[in-house]
Formats: sequence, C-alpha cells, structure tokens
Amino acid sequence: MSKQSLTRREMITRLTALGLTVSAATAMTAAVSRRAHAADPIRISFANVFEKGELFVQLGNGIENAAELMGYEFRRYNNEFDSEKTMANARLMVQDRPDLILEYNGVEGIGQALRRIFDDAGVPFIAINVPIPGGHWFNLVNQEIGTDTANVVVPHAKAKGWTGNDTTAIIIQASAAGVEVNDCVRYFYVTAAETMDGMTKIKPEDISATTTSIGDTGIQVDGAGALEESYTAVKNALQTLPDDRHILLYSVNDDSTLGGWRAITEAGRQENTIVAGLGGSVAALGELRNNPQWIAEGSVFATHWGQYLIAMATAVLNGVEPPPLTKCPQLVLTPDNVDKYYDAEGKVQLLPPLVPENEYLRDTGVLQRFNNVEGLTG
Amino acid sequence: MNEHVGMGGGMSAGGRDPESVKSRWQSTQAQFFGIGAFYVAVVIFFALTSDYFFSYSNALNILTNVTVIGIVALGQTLAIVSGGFDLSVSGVVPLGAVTFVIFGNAEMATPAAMLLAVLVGAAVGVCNGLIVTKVGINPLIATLGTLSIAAGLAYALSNGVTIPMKNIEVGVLAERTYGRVPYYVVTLIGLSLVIWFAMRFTVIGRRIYAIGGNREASRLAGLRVDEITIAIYATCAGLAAFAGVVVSSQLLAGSATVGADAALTSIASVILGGAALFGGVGGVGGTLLGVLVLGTIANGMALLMVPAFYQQIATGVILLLAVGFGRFRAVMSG
Repeated sequence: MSKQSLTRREMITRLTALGLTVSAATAMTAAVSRRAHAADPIRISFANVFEKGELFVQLGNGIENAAELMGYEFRRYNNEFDSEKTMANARLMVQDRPDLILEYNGVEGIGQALRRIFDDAGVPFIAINVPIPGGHWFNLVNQEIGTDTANVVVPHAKAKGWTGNDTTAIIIQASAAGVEVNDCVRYFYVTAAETMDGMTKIKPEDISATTTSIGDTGIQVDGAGALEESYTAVKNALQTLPDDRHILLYSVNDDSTLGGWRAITEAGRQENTIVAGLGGSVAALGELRNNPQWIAEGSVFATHWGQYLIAMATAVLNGVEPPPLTKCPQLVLTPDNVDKYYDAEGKVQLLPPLVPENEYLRDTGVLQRFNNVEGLTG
Repeated sequence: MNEHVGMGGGMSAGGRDPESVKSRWQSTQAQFFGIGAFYVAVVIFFALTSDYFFSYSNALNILTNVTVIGIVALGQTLAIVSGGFDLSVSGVVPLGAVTFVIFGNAEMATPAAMLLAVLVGAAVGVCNGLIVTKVGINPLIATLGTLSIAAGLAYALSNGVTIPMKNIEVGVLAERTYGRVPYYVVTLIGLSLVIWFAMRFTVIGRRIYAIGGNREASRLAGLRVDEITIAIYATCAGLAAFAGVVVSSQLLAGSATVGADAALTSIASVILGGAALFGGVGGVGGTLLGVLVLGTIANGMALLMVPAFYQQIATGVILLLAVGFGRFRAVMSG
C-alpha cells in the first residue's frame, strides 16, 4: 500500500512536473513563434493577366519592385489570359497561404469562382482591372480618360477651324477586350460629338462592339489592340473617306494608335489628322514630343501601379476598408506637360497627385518611400 | 499558272496509275478555275454593293494588305505540296520582324539586316526539317513546338514591347514605290514568279511534287527525300521571316504580336487554291488566288462596315462555300 501510495505521489509529482514543463515549453514555443511571426515578412502573391506585351510585363515588374522595396515576400504567377490557368493559379496561391493576393484576371466571367477559392482560404484579395465580387478593386477609369482626351483634342481641332461637317473620328476598339476597356474610345467619341458642332451625337450605350459607323462623322474599326491589325483596319477605313476629310484618331492603346497612324501617314493624310494615344509607351511619348499632329497621350502610369497596389495591400492588411474602386494614377499628357512627368527616355519621373478617394493610401506611408507622387514628400 | 499534281509515276517513284493522276490533275484544274470564278463573283458583288471597292486605290490597298500573308503562303505551298505543313510560321513572322528591326537599329546595312533576319527564320526551318525527318516527329507537333519557341524568342528579344525603327529608311520595302506600288508588292510578284518557275519547270520542283505524291516511293526511287524536306522547311521559314521583314517595313516597327494568324490563314489560302492537305497537289497560282479571295473578302466587308465578329463568321462560311463550289465543279467535270 505504502509503496503504492508512494508511487501515486511520485506519479502526481511527475505529472505536475511534466505539466509545468509542457506549459513552459508551450509558452516558450508560442513566444518564439510570435517572435518568428513578427519577423516574418508580409507575403503577397500576384497573378499577372499575361506576361507578354509591354504593359503587362512592366506592370508585373513594377509590383515586384515595389514589394521588394517594402521588404515583402513576393510570388508571381502568369494567368496567360486563360480561365483554367487563372483558376489553377488561384488554387496554387492559396496553398501557399499568403497574407494577401493581387489578382489580375482577364476573364470576367470567372470572378465568382475565384472569390470562392480566396474566401474559402480566408485570404484577402485585390482585383486589378477586372473586378471580382467581394474583393477590393484597383483600376483605371477608361471612361474618364477617353473624356479627358476628347477635351484636349477637340479644342485643338476647333482652333484649326475643323467642324463636324468636315471631320470624322476614327476610333479603334478592341472588341474582344470587353465594354470597360472600350469605354475610352466610346466616351472619346461621345464627348467629341458633344463639344464639336456638326458631329453626330450618340449615347455611349449606343456604341457597341458591333458598331462600325456613327452617322457621317464616326467610324469604329476593330484593331484587336494590336499594331498590325489596327494598321490594316484603318487602311481599309481610309478608303471610305475623301482625301480632304479631317480625321481625329484615337484607340484603346498605343500599339493600336501607332498602327492606325502608320496607315494615315502611308496614305499621306497626316496633315489632316489629329491623333491621341493611350498608354504612355516610349514610342508614343516620342510621337507626343516630336510629332505636331500627336497632341495628347493618356497615361495610366502602369509601370508604377505596383507602388499603389502595395500601398493598397498594406492598407487592407492594416484593417482599412478602401473605397469600392481605387483609381490608378491617370492623366492626359500634352506636349506642354509631358516633360514634367516623363524624362527624355520615357521613364516616369513624377506621378500625378492623389485624387481625394485615394487619400487613404497616404496614411500607409508606402507612397512616400518612393518620393515620386506630386504633393507627397518622402 | 496551271496547277500541278504529283507525277510520281512519271519518275517511277509515284506508284500511281496514270488515269488516277490524270483525274486528280483535272480535279485540281477544276478547283482552280472554280475558285477563279468564285473570285470574279466576289469582286462583282463588292463592286455593286460598295461605292469604294472598285477603284485603283482600293485594288492597291488589297494588294498591300495581302502581301505579308502571300509571302508566307508561298512557303506554305512548298510545305503542303511536299506532304507536310508548317505551323511555325506564326512564330517566325514576328521573329523575323523583331530581328530585322533590332539589326536595322544597330545601324547594320538594310540588305544585311534583311538577310540575317531571313537566315534566322531559315534556321528555324532547318530545325523543323531535322525534327520531322531525322527524329521522325509529325510536322504538326514539330512545327507547333517550334512555333512556340520562335514566338517566345520574338517576345524575349523585344522584351514584349514594340520597337520603332530609328531610321525609317530601313523600311525601304514600304517606303519606296514604283509609281504607287510599294516595293514589297513587287517583291511578292517576283518571289511568286521564281517559285512558280521552280515548281513547274525544274527538277527540284518535280521532286517536291513526287515526295508529296508518295514519300516512300520517292525514297526508293533514289530521291534524297530528307535533304529536300529540310530544304523545303528552311525555305518556308525563310519566307516567313521575310514576311516579317515586310510587315515591320510597313509598320516601321518590330513587334512580337504580328503574324499571329499567319499559319492558319496561309494554310487556308493554299487549300482554297486547290492544294491537297495530303500533298502532291497544288501550286503558286492557286495559292495566290486563295490569298486574294481571303484578302478581298476582308477588304470588301470592311468597306461595307460589317462588324468584326460577323466578318469572322462570314469569312468561314465563304471559305467553305468556295472550296465546296470548286469540289462540286470538279465532281461535275468527272
């Protein structure tokens, strides 16, 4: 009995000691874990819509560089403009348990499926360009940039004495890219028609992907967002316009505009044309500086979206609720202001000031580290 | 330009009976003239429906629009007549365009830049030929693989951006004209004549038809089938790279996005022109007619302001109707 009671005491003592040891070990492990966690960098995964083409590559590089500068751990995926690949990447990303996902999905219809994957994994996400239900959204506003561009182009045309009676707007859409992307050309035409006498007025919703002519003052061609296709499409369209007709040329991106402009110069009609680009590519900025007919260039500063997205990600991780749409920096450049924002090699040297809705980005302190946003100092 | 048929029997390599060959010859001729008649109908239709179609200016416009694909299709004709085909042209066209502009911007003499771009393309073609003949991989898979490699190289070399020509004189093929006809259109005509002559009147031409007619019989007859096949793929890819030179001259820029539909459009043109996918049949005249049919339809629909979506549908339907019409005439002519 005594041996038995001794054993019991021994057992109790040992169990107590074991319990204390386990508690202490657990506490120490938790402390170590907390320390380790505190030392862990923020982990961000980014799926790019495509890793081909100037815009997408520069955009991806910009995000990666900004994440590196902030000391965030960064992983990059390529959605290849393909829904299945996008879904596969989404599953891969959540397996990796990042703190936040930046998703640039080019296929609007799969937004719900992506949301389910991210929500099930409990990972917050920011949708770039194409919205995903339930996620935060960062994008350019095509409508605004098309309108602003028309507001630069039309006064210039009017100053030359052009009216809707002798002028046609050729807008180059990329029909497969969807309504949002083509808003820039639609609103360009609508705004031009509203501000220029004699142009056929039309509601934005009446210009669709299948619209090809708008009265006698508008032609919409499909350049597929590409140089060669836009060149051919504009070449064909020029056949239908008298040689003395004035032309306003605008498109969804710089490759398209350059293709269309090449068709116009080949036809010897450049003196009768005013052209505006969109994208801020090196080639287009060169035209804006050196070509008197190229009078406006919409820039969305895509190479620098990275710092805004990383600032936005930081805000979200800090518990801030962003507005429904966080606008990217965007501005219509003219020959007068281009040198302020871009250097001679076409590199961004200054970004436009934050719009009021984006003031929450200031509080993260991220943008100040880049010291390149007008009105924000480091 | 009469179309040609694989005359393997005539060289004791074809192993086909003369009646069969004669029948296929007649069938091909019927297809050629059927497509010719169809083309005339297309021209009349658009001339009646569009105010802008029937003019010298628009004829020139059509010619300039089809030149790039015409040059690719000439090479594709060689590949298809020899019993193969080449999908890699969709990668070689942008590779040729980008390399030409890079060489041109490096202040290399324009002819040297052109030659180097063509040689880069031809090197891809040699790889195609070696993979098909020595490794024994089907042309579909082999050229699909090299398409991806060549297109990827074009993107890598250009870093995914459009490279403007620093000196527009490098784009001499588009910048200079005979009257109003750009050099590149004249180049297409010249290349067509050379290839037509080679296919119709030279030993190498007859051998290409023989290999397409019956590859194994040609080998047994002592033809150097593998070497000829490699040469054909090299020529096809070299022409595709030259098409890249032309398109970059037109655009005064090199871009990895050009020529994406070159493979499908060139194959469609060759088949539309009366060639058989299994080889041994076809020719330059038919191919050029096929290229013109597709280019004219695209131009006509653009002038009629047909939306792009419907243009695609209409082009597919017209393509099927045209080939069907030719086949129907062939059947009717016995």
